[in-house]
Amino acid sequence: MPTLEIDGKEVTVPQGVNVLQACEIAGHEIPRFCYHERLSIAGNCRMCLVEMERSPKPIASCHMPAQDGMKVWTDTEMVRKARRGVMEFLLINHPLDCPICDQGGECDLQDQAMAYGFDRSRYEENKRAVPEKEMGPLIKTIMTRCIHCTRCIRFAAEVAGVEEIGAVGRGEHMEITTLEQAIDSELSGNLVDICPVGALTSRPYAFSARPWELRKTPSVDVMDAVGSNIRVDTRGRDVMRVLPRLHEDVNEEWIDDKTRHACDGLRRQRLDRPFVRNKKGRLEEATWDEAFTAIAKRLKGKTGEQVGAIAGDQCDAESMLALRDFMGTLGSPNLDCRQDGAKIGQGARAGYLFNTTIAGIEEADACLLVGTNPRREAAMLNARLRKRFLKGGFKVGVVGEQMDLTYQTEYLGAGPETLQQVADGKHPFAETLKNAEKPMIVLGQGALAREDGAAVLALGRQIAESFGMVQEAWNGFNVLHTAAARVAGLDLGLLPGTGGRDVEGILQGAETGEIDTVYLLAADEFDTSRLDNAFVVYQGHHGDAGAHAADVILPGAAYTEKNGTYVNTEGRVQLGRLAGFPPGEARDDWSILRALSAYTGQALPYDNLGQVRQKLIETADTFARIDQLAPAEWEAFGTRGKLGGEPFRSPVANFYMTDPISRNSETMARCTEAFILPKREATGTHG
Amino acid sequence: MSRVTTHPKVTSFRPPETGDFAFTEASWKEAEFALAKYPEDHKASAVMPLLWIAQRQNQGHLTRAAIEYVAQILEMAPIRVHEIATFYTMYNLEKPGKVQLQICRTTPCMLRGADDILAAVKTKLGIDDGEVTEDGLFSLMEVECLGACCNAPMMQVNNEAYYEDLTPEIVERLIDDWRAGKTPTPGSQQGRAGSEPEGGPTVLTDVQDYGAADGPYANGTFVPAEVRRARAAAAQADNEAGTSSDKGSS
Amino acid sequence: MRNSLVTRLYTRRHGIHVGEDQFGNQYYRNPNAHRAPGLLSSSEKRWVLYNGAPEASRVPPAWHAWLHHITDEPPADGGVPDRKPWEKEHAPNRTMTAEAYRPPGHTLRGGKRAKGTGDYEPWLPS
Repeated sequence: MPTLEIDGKEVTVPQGVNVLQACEIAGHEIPRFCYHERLSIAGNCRMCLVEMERSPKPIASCHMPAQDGMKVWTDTEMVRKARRGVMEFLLINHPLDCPICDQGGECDLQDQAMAYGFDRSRYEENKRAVPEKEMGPLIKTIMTRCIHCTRCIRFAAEVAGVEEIGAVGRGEHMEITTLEQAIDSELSGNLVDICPVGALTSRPYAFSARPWELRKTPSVDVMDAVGSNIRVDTRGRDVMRVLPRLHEDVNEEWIDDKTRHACDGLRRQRLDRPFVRNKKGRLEEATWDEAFTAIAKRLKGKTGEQVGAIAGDQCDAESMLALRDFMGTLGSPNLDCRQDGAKIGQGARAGYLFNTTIAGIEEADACLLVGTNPRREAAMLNARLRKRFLKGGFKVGVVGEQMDLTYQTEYLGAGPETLQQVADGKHPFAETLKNAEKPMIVLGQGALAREDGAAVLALGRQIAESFGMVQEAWNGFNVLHTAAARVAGLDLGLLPGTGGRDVEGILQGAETGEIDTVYLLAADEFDTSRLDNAFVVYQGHHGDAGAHAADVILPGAAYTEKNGTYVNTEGRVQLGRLAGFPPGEARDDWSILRALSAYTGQALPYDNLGQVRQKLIETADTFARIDQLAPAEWEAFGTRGKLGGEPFRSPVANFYMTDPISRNSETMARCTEAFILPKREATGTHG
Repeated sequence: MSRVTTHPKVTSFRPPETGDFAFTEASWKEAEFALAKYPEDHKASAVMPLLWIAQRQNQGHLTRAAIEYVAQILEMAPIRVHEIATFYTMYNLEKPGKVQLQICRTTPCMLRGADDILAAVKTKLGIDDGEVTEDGLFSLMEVECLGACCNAPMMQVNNEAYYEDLTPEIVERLIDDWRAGKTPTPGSQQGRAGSEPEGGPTVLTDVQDYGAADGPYANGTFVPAEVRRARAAAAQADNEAGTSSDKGSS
Repeated sequence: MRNSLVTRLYTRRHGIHVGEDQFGNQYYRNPNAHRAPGLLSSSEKRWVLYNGAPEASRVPPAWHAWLHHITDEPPADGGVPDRKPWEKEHAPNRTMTAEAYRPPGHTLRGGKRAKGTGDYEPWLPS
């Protein structure tokens, strides 16, 4: 713990921090361009100069380790002069195009030029001009604005793990380039955030808004089960962009491209008014009253067994609770939230959570990935695995598809038989797990959403127990979900009741006619043509597969349009907030179910969000702990059974299109075209 | 790529596009020598020698295919090798002439008339810095100090031969020689041995007078072998030049 | 409001009439006005008597140039070339009048707005 003097005040800082961080701890902000807390130190912008005792020149504070007895001044005439000089050099080749620059208003260079800029130019030569570079559908480049901080190069190589961006040439002729290739990374959107100037800007967002005219709403992402913390920027009710919000235990300060750029899907194919199928078989616009009446009429006289309900992948906990209670009033046990048919949820909570926690990955020393491709299913989690890998001493084994996770993995095999070998200790990787102090296993939906899913789950449990993954204060058993709603649904018990049918059962019943009415709560991810014989009520926000099969459509709200509670794959309860109102006549999802319940006879016992949340907590007390994790009890789950021979396949084939919002997003379509289709053509497989 | 080993994967990148570039057997021999110097998991350290070998094999310049071929051998991201190849000035990205004139213009050479040399070459060849003559024979490059300041002004040819003590006339004569297909003798063009003063040593000639201590130089007769050889070569060159000019005049 | 009494008296005593524009404004100059040396217009004083309310935007561009010493000669004597056929007739500033410009969607233009960017594309059954 070095103690040093900063601007005459003594401050004690942790071992290993640099002078810049020490100054921050002491409460002095140091201007910087190239330095970033989560990247390696480059020290090439020279903006963070401070004065140090016994140093004849100012020192670059980001590059100087804080030492005992240092005396540092951050605001002397020498420092100001040095920084003004650096700023003048930076501005020599920086164009004066702030009025047409998308970074304007949130630009580090702009802000710091206010403090250290010279008010006129002494430079009379020609400014440098650099040709634009092609970086794919998400990043727009205006390279003349680049100040060569190299943050983008370091981010791509270190955090994203794709070495595709670099600096060619030297001195004044240095240029940041990707050699005209799109950056094939699911984290590339973050390059725009870390660029301190307007050289890399967001292509979909180009010229559409200024930061000061946007309303910022802190919220939670639902594109995958990580629950990245986001900030939704809206103008009116229009979501202009999505930015990451700092949460050290979930997404640090990054988000993946789907989270960031799928928001333009919120503008297309929206359900904004109720529809009811008329006698001619065509969907016709209706009022809420007509829609509810039609449903109530259909449900009249039906027994609970004839009704089924399926909850979708992006539902908030409130609406799923309302759906469960609504089905309760109808007396129906046919209820399921596992659209993909994963064999989880029966048994202890620890059996369907990512127990290690995302931040906990950094403590692990061996990992077995089973039937999952975290890079496609949960890109932020993969970034965490990579971060752990780069620290060294971390072995990753893969059972499932062959894949490139940006770090070194050991491919063990394709299917359950390999997993069995590992469990029996016959596979060499078993030795690695045995020797590891904190090993972990990750079961993906590719391993669980299949016939023998329950047996795989039991086998995973056996591995966890026999290799010492479950210890005091360490639980290495993990299930990685792909659906943001899944854990909340399982916590609330949206599972078939006694004698009830699961998703497959409901679909079969609908085909044979045993199920008369199916209620889809934003559920689109299965073959909806199997519902042709049944009366389908679809409540959701997009005209996707479910809406096409529906007889009554009730327009709901998307995740940016409601105050909802989401539980991520770790079991972390987080709140999403309303950023803009739902379009047209669409309403909050739980309130639709509440209104419908009044028509069918038995109104649900809550009239406002507070009461719904009260009921949530009564149903599952984990909902009372917002953003706090409590270790789940290690109790029984999984059923031993016969293992199949099928290889495990990741459920996410196309990272950019996994849900109704991203499927309707133009940006995601462009990404699919740029990144997914060429690979399919090249390999001839559907990877 | 069986001839080199693999190292741990830490990033993902697109596969290199090597085109039809490949090392010849001779290049492989040199490359293996370079690779053997570094541990297997740090073989990226051999990137600069390998680029150099590729450049030599490829008539003095690096193409995109050659750069990516080196990336493939070293399992580096292609962009990293591109960064190196574009950073260093001795890697040529365009095909140079058969005779690359690299004229020093750092302070000592400049003071001794490098600007005149440069102007003479430019007018003689009709090309500017960084250009190649139309017949592809000469290319001109301004370079910084090459460490032969005692013999300033000087130029380097094809990255190896130093031509020193230049004057505009000498440089023009040299160019004529290359045009005629001859290779002029490198070294001082004014008859100096190494970087000795003109007309022999001027200091430490009177060591005996001061009763110098023992040692190889004590009696003033010992001359190191290198100096002896250089003097002999210079004398021979002088003789040849003298006889040939005599013949020419007669 | 008309031209002030002092201006009119000064014009009668010192003003040399130079010309008249299409709006009937009268232009005068006084080559002997004593101004501080070094000023842009130290040589000559130029002014206008408005035909009607004094409103600076009523001066057309050609006369404006002469009035502000951009040209030495008044427009008629070759100061500023004639209006090109594609140039619009000069019009005084109409702000605060009935002819003032009102953007589309202005209350006084019916208040009908074009669809904003916040609009979405609704799903319709096919």
